[in-house]
This record gives sequence, structure tokens and C-alpha cells, in this order.
Amino acid sequence: MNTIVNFTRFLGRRTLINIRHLGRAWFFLITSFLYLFIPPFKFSRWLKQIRFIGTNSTLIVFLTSFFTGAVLGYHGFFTLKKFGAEGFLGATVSLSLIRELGPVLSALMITGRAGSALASEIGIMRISEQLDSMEIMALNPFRYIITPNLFAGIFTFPLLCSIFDVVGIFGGYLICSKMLGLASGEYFGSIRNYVEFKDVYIGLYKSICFGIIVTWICCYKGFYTGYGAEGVSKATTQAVVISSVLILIGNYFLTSVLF
Amino acid sequence: MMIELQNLKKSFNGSEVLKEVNLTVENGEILALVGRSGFGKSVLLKTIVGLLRPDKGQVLIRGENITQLKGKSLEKVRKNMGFLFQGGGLFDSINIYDNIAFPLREKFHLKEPQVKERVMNALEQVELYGHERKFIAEVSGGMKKRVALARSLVLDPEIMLFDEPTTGLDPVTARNINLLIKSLHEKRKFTGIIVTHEIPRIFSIVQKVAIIHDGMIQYISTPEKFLESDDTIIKEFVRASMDTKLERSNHEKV
Repeated sequence: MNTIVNFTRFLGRRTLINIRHLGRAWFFLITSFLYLFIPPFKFSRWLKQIRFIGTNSTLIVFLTSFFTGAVLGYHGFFTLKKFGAEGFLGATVSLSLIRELGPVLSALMITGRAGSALASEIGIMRISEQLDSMEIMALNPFRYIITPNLFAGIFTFPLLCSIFDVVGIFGGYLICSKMLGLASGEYFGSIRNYVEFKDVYIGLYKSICFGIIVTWICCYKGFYTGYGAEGVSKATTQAVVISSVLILIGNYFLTSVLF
Repeated sequence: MMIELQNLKKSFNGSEVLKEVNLTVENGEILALVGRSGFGKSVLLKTIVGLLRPDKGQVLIRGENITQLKGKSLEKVRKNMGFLFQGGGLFDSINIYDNIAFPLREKFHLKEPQVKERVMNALEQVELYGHERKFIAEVSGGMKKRVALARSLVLDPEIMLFDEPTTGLDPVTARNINLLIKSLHEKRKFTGIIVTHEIPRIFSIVQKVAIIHDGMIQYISTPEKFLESDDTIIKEFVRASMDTKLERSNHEKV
């Protein structure tokens, strides 16, 4: 009997803690959004974060996308060849990239590179009392630290996703056309015939959502980090894991709703 | 009264850190807050400045209850407050000059020549003139404390809260920091609370001493009366401080 009571108590306590965390996280997101519209705007901080999240992630996105496109082209060529449908290869590669792989993989790569850095940087600012000192100086940390990251996420994720799409399609083209002998016209012709503008902008919508998710979770985890180095390391790990899982879950729901 | 604390209570995960704190600090007065580590001194300072919200009780600044203040109204109160964090709380991504200039540019929107004048003046006061282009990671602990002090004082606050300003510093640097606080207080007449373990060295710069024990202010008096007190907690605390000082000086002789 005691075990059941204790277990129920434990369950209740955990549920309450999680609800409290969830409420705090939502409040955090709403506050970050509000400061996008409340002047004074710290444009220099916004630009700095665009450079940090966006520009500095270009190379890794470039590399990942090229080889993703190449492997898609490689597999797609031999599979479609069985049915004599190599002509659809361009469309297969580009639709896979534009609709799903571009937004998801670019977001995962940025999470690994910039999201983890964000969580740990903000976490260290918290434990070294830099955020507290900002508050004491009557300066709002959201305006200086959090909102610039949110804006940079919304701005750079779709741009990096576009780069991912283009480079991936080009990677597929190089493999299929230059290595496996598919005619360039066939590859690009099928893209022109089957890829619609809707596919592109839905992919970009997804990227914007992922940009919000990643910057929100990573900033939140850093902002409410635990004590010491262990706290920051835990917060960083959680930020990356939760962001990645939410990207994949979110992708399913966005796909269901948008297509 | 500049600072008045009434029945402050604060717990963390069921553990009561502040049980019932009552304290007053008069205008222009510096109070030393002493007590054993982990007994809530830093928590008390952070509660005064609004970084932590008390579970019960009131924090009155110039008679205004700031406990429930939020947003702009809390920012307005904080504009008149300075806080020297234990670790300095300095921004490590920018240099010393920009650290001190940060609140002047961002909060007071001063023009660059005015910012420069005030920063250089502050650096001169803390004897860091010529080091302004160094980054925080490049300077010693003592210099960090002085930069933090300069940043807090550049805004000319009415209230200054010091959280262990000399902890971890060598005796010479610690004495210099204490003297610096004393001379700045003489010039600016701010009201202050210093959380410290520097007994009796700190007594030359404070007007009152309070000891916090078991979540409450056990005793508050002038430094002289504090040293003469018969209270067992105070006696034990003073004796331990003296022993540590003696041990340190013997160790230095060896």
C-alpha cells in the first residue's frame, strides 16, 4: 500500500515539475518574441548572431548537403534504373531534399554546431553571474542575449536550408551526370517538370519553425542551467538532444499539415 | 533609512536559508555582514537587489517596498544600485574598457566622449589606467575585482552591495581593495553592505557589523562593540578569524 502511495506521490511531483518547466519554457519563448518588436533594437547583436549561427555554419551545411545529394543520386540512379525510370532522378533527389532532407538535416547540423555553443555560452554566462550583472545594471538579458539568437535562427535557418537544397541537388547532378552517365537535360528537366514552388516554400516554412525551436530550446536550457561545469554540460547535452528530437517530431507534424 | 529588511524568508527545495531576517542600513552607512559560509549572506544580498524573490517579508529601499516590483519599476530602482559579484560578473567576450562602458552606453545612452571620460576616470580610481584594452581572461583575480568595482561605481549608485570583494585575493591586494572601497565611500557617500570574512580588517571601513546565523541576524552593532561582545557565536567567529589570520602570518614567515 505504501509503495503505491509513494509511487503516486512521485508521479504527481514529477508531473507538477514538468508542467512548471513547460510553462516557464513557453513564457521564455513568448518573452523572446515580444522583444523582437519592442525597441530599442540591438541590431549589432542581431548581426553578430546571424554571423555566429548562419555564416559560421555555411561550410558544414555545404559539406553535408553535397554528400547527401550525392548519395541520394547514387542510390536513386540504380533503383530507378531497374524500372527504366532514370528520367525521374532529378525530381526524386530534389523533392527529397527540398521537402524533407534540406530543412531537417540543415537544422540538425546547425543544432550540433551552433545550438550546443549557444547553450553552453549562455550557461557559462549564467554561472559566472554575467546575466545577473546585466539585470543589476537594469539591462534586460532577453534584449541583449536571447532575442538576437531567436531572430538569427528565424533569419538564417531558411537561408542555410536553401543552400543545402541547391548544393545537394548539384551534388546529385555531379554523381548522376558526370559519374553514372545520366544526361544533364534529363536530370534538370525532371526537376523543372515535377518540383513546384509550393515544395520550396513549404521547405522554407519548416526551416523557420526549426530555427525557432533550436534557438528557443538552446537559449532556454542555457538560461536555466544548473550549477557549475556539470550543470552547463548537462544543459548543453539536453539542449542538443531535445532540439534534435523536436526537429524530427515537428517535421512529421509540419509535413502532415502543410502537404 | 536607505535599506530596510522586514521578516525576510527564503527557502530552496524545502531548506530554509533565511528564516526571519530584519535589518536596517542608514543613509551613507556601510554595514559588514559576516557569518559562516552557506548561511545565506549572498542569498540575502541577491534578495535585496531583486535577483531572488523572498518567500515572505519585505525589502524596503528608501521606504519603497520593492519585493513585488517587476520590469520597468524594478529597473528604475536598480538604476541606483551597484553590485560587486563574488566572481566579478564581468563580460568575458569584451575588454575592460567596454565592460565599464557597457552600462553607460546601453542604459544611459551617453555620447562616446562622455563615456570615455567616465571610464577613464573610473579606471584611474581603481588604478587600472593603461590596462583598458586587456580582455578579462588576461587579467588577475585582483584586477577583475577592481574592474568590477569600477563598473559598479561608474554609474554613481546610491547603494552598493559587495559580495565578498576580497575573497581569494592575497593580503596586499585585499587590503588595497578595502582601502579603495573606503576612499570611494568617502568621496561618494554611498550606502553599502559588504559580505565579508575579513575580520577585523574590514572594521576600519564600516560603521556597523551584523552577523547572520541560522537564517537570522543574530547581532548587530558597531565594530568596537562587536569585538567586545560576549555572545558565544560572535566570540567563536572572531576567534576563528583571528586564528586563521595568525596561521596565515606564521605560514608566510615560514
